[in-house]
Amino acid sequence: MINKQNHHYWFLSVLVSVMLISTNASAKNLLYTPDGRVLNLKGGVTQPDLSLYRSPIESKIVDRRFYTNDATFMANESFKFGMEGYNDFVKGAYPIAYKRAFQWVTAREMYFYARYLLDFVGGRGHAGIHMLHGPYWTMQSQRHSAYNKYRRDRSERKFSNKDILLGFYLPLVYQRTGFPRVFEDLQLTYLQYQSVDPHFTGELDNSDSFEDVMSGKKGGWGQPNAYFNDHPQRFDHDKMDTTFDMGGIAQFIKRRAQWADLFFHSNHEEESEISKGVKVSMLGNDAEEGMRGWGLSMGAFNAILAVKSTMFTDGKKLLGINPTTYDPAQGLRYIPHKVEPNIFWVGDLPERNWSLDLEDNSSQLWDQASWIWGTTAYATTAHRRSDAFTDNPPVDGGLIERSSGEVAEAMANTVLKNVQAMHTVEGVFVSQWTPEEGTGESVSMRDMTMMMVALRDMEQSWDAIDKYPKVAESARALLEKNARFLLKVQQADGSFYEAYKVSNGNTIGKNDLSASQWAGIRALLAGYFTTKDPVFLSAARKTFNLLNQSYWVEKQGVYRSRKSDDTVVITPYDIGITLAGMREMIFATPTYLADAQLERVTRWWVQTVNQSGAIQSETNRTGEIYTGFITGDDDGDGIPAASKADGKYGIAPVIAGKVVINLGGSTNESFADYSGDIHNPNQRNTVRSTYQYQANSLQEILLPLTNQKVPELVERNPMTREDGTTIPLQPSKPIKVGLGTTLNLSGQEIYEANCMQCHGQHGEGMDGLPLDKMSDSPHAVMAAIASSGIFNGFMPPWGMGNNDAVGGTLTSAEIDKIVDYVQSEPFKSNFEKSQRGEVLEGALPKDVWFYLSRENVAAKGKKISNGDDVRRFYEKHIDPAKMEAKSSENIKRVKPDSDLSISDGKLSSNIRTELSYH
Amino acid sequence: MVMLYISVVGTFFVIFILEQYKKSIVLGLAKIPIMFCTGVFSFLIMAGSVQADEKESKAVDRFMTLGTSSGKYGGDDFESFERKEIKTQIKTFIPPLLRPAFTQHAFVLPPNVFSVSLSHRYTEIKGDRDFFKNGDINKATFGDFTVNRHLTDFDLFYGFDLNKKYLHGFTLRVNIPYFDTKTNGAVHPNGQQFIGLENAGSSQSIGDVGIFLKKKLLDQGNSPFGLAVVGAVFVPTGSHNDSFGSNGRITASRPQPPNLVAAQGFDAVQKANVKNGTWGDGRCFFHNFNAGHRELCDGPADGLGGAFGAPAAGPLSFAPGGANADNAFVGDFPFNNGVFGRFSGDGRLPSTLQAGTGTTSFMLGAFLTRQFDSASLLGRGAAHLGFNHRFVSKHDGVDFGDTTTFFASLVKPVYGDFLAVDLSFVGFYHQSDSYDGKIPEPEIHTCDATDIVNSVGGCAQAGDDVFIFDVANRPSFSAGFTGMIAPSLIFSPDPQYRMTLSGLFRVVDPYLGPAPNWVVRAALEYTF
Repeated sequence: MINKQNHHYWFLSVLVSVMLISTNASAKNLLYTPDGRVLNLKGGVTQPDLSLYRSPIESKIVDRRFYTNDATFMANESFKFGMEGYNDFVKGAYPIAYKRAFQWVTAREMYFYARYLLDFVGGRGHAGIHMLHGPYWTMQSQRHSAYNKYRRDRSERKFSNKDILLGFYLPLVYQRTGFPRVFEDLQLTYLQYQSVDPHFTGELDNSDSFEDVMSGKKGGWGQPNAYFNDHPQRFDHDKMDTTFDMGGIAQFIKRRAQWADLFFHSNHEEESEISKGVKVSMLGNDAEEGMRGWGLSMGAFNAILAVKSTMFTDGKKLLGINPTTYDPAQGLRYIPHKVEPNIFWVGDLPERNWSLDLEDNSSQLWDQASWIWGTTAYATTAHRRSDAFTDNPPVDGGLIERSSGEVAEAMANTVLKNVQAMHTVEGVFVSQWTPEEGTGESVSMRDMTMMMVALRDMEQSWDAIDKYPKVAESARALLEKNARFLLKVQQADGSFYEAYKVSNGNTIGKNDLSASQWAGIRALLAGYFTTKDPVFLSAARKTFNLLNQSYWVEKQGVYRSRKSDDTVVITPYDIGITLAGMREMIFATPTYLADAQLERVTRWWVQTVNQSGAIQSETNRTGEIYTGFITGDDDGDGIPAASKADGKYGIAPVIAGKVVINLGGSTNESFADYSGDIHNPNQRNTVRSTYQYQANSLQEILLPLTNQKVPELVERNPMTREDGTTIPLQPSKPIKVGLGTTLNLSGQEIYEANCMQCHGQHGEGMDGLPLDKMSDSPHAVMAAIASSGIFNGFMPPWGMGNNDAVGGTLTSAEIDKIVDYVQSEPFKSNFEKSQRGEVLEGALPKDVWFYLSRENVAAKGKKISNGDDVRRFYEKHIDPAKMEAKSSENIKRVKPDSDLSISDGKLSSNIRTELSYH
Repeated sequence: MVMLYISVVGTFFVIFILEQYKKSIVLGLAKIPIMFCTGVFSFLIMAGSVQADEKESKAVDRFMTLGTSSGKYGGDDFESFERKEIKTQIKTFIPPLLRPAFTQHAFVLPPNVFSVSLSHRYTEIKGDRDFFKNGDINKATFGDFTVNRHLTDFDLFYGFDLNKKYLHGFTLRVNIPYFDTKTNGAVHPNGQQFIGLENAGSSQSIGDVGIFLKKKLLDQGNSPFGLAVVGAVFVPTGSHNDSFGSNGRITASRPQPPNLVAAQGFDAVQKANVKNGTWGDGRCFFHNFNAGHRELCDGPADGLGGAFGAPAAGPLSFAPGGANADNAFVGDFPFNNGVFGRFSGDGRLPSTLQAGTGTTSFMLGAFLTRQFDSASLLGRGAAHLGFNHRFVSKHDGVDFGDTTTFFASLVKPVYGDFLAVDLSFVGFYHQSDSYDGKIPEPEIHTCDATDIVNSVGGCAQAGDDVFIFDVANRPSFSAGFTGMIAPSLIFSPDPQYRMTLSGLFRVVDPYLGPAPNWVVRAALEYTF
């Protein structure tokens, strides 16, 4: 599907990809392996000045626990808003240019907050059953044992899962991804626990002292000990609720599948441990992401297999099913709500599942929807990432069976059969089914939305892989049926109640909760994107306007959780559903009207997620560039470094279970009634807040319920998003003169506002590729790459956009200026110096391990870096907490980009101030 | 495919048999149709096999059928199948370096896993330090007495799982103890030094065989600690009738004064008993203990040419006669049933020195285990805590008394995966044992006025010390709480093998009875 939609620039992208993949550029942070190879890793970057979007708020962290179901849902929506969403915004030509703060909070913070969850909860924290014990490995150990017994040496030797994982597969993963080892004490989970306390249980060592017992390498990796050594980053097992919430497990499958899809987005060139100095193509965007992608895929597939084979139920006991032959008419077999594992844990071995008991035999719509969502995503990944998912791994170069995708497909179809049989009344969803009472009578907005979103992804995915047309068709029919139900029950002001009685639409619960409204938007837009019926779009915009009129609080930059309540209650679900509603609404808005929404996203995120304390810590991936050695909040954003955050040893960078924000001052009794930690962002560093009240913010963000007929409006092509789904784009207007041109910004300003985050201040590469090869290529070639993007390199098409009449986010004039700057001698010179690890004059503070890893490589792995080394670089940089945004960084539009003309730049001598946000 | 192999092998087998009889014309002629039939049969089987293979020719089918009745792996109970694989997955289910050397723990064995253990304990209980009365060392009675004890235990463990809710995680254990006990030295009943009941006996006997069923209730995987409960039944296979003395001898010495009256009283008692035939000749004082004098004592009575004609001088350590000769009758002779006759009517050892209890007894216990990982304050290790209570009912006039055992162990690996140290505290609370019947206890008694009126023991005037026998309930032998500190070394050269060496040292003395000052224990274990 993607190929069909993007054929116009496909050829160029491929060409450029080939060029870039052959680069020998060495940039990013480096890793010195025990066998002397130097690997490129993504590193943390400098956090831009977010103070323009920040104002003081009073908040309490009421519950620091991590609740897998809700928090993972939030991470899934956050991921789609993050780098993936950002690329889609570029492609859709939304006015995100010169919005460095927006770029940071989406492509960096949303992306990495979601990734933290995978890293710390899915691996380091031991928050679930180790993948080693997964059924896939049991099956492999059986097969290998049988082969060994009967065909090889006729011995009686039986292999264990551990033999297979450590002896057979991990060596291949090391070879095919380049990463030299797995992280120490990593608990690659496949079945997640229901909730955990994310405090660390040991002290994180941030010096370069990791000792690898396998190779004997002691320190000198170019990376801090805490990067490899997960042992202190375990969570307290005593404080875990080890119940399996089946919805949460499915949300985690979605989490893993999404990320594996991204990590296997492209291959990279690196020396392998057996290539003898020659760079070869290896799996994954880089060595680390290839390895992680394998682990994530394996975790997801093991979870699918485990549930398929042991965790379905007939209402009385747990059992397995064959999803290809399952027929609900022959007796229901479904995924129950909760399963209680009896976990077996002895000694140093990771705990494993000993037996399973049925804890809650009801069937919940949320769980079933999550299973469709998760398995559909896995199936899509297995289909799309054909380098890693192959027919006969590991002998044919892949790491995972492609047929694992078929299992996921069959599971998704099975669950849909059950949803139709158990969770619908005349096609309208019902939240609960129980063995005693059968199908219930009501449906919550939360559950209905989740199911509609899952069906939207399902019908798109089955079309994309050209399978199951009847299933896709029935998914579309269900989706539309329920979208129309929502139209029927929507109140005149656009609001939704918490839940409804399905038979007559009678309301249940409250109608003044913002989460229900965001859910309504998300659901209606899923209906709109599938049916293209504008009636759903209008209904969603009505709710969106209501939220901004009645829930948005301009002063504090938050949406009220309840319309009339001065205490805002924030849970991971609230964040997730708000993110989802905001994101999808942007994609349903004409680009020339979207600026206020983009600004609102930045402001809301900075306040609700960062300032409130909801995100409990961070690492160098999102701004703690001195890894905890200096202030503990180097970037001065109020979010402490993980090792310096709450608790004796710190806390993982994950979303808190509940945070409350006070909008009512000292007289707000409901806020006072909450017991929790008063959040003090200034505890470790001074957090600057310079947000200024925006008197006209409401008028700007409200949307017309139907698209207006305005001059120069052009129709748009449907857009295929990074996740493979296709959406209609609203008619809009092309940019004639770019903002950078209007304001006469320099090439450097345009580059730093739009390109620096991924490519680095001096082109050294961070998330994006280093630009050394580009700097010597013909101007037209580099301009073409910037314009058309690199699909396989996750480079969005800045100039080409969606290849329709609206064009791109940047104009060719702006791109030309960028190319001129990057190909200038000073830039090239700075690139060279930067690569040598020099701190250049005026260099923005950068993740210190960029420099430390270079010193270590220069010393051939003998440089053991510690806090003293970190301080050397701290003293050379300006204080990252005091950096101020340039005027070209966060430009709020006073008029749509499409309406700009050269003359706008001449209207005022102070046009930059006028056009700037503040 | 298995069927394919069978058919091919079967064909060759038939041909081979025919080759052996190829000289036989009949069979030679028959070979052709037999081969034909075999071939057709084999082909049909092969065809069937191929057809069966085709059903799973798609690689994905093994995933799809996983956990269903048509699945290759564990049929329709993949979970159970996986659990059975644990012994392959994990070579030793119970980590040898985290399990205590000899106390209990909350781990259980996986299904179908066996473990055997052979352990040996040795201790020496010496009277001048290891027997107690009222919490103090009871030198008066046991000061000259020693017990050497060897205890060998053979244990067989078997793990199983009933694969139903609440019925997971069992370990069955059979314990066969074997006792080898030697006693030596003299016991002084009631602390009276003038009688020394010497004994050098030995006994070898199997103990009560214990059958234990352990159930894991909580695993540290689900809760902050692991918890297991155990129930046991002890079959009365062990001897409870062991007695010593057949190779022993008794010496009695005339009590040295406190005063002459007492000495004479002793003589009087002796004389009276000789006269009424209870004691007979002084040498018969040891009638039932001193085989060398039995003939003498069982001979004709006084006046009939027997030895009892008169108290006679002889190889005695005392002489009868004295001023108070006929003053008292003390009843049945107290010492004619063995050294330990004071604990039973027939001279058996007290119950705690027996190999068995003589009755079916039961035990209940609960054990708690908490593991620590290397990031914890203690580092890698495990702590274990628990108790068990053994219920023993009265049997054959002897009540062993219930016993409660408490323990706490801290186990910490100190050298990789090979060596661990274990520091344990073990406490035993023994309810008083009791023995039916009464016995006369020899006693030096100080007379008061009432005694004179009642002619007790030849009391003549107040303040006299006289020798009497006080008829009393049989005393308890053992009671109270004994505490021991036990450091151990645990060595595991391979996860399936384990060797332990422990020393137990008494730190809390019991109220009554023997408590070894130290015990040495060594054990070998193998899990398979």
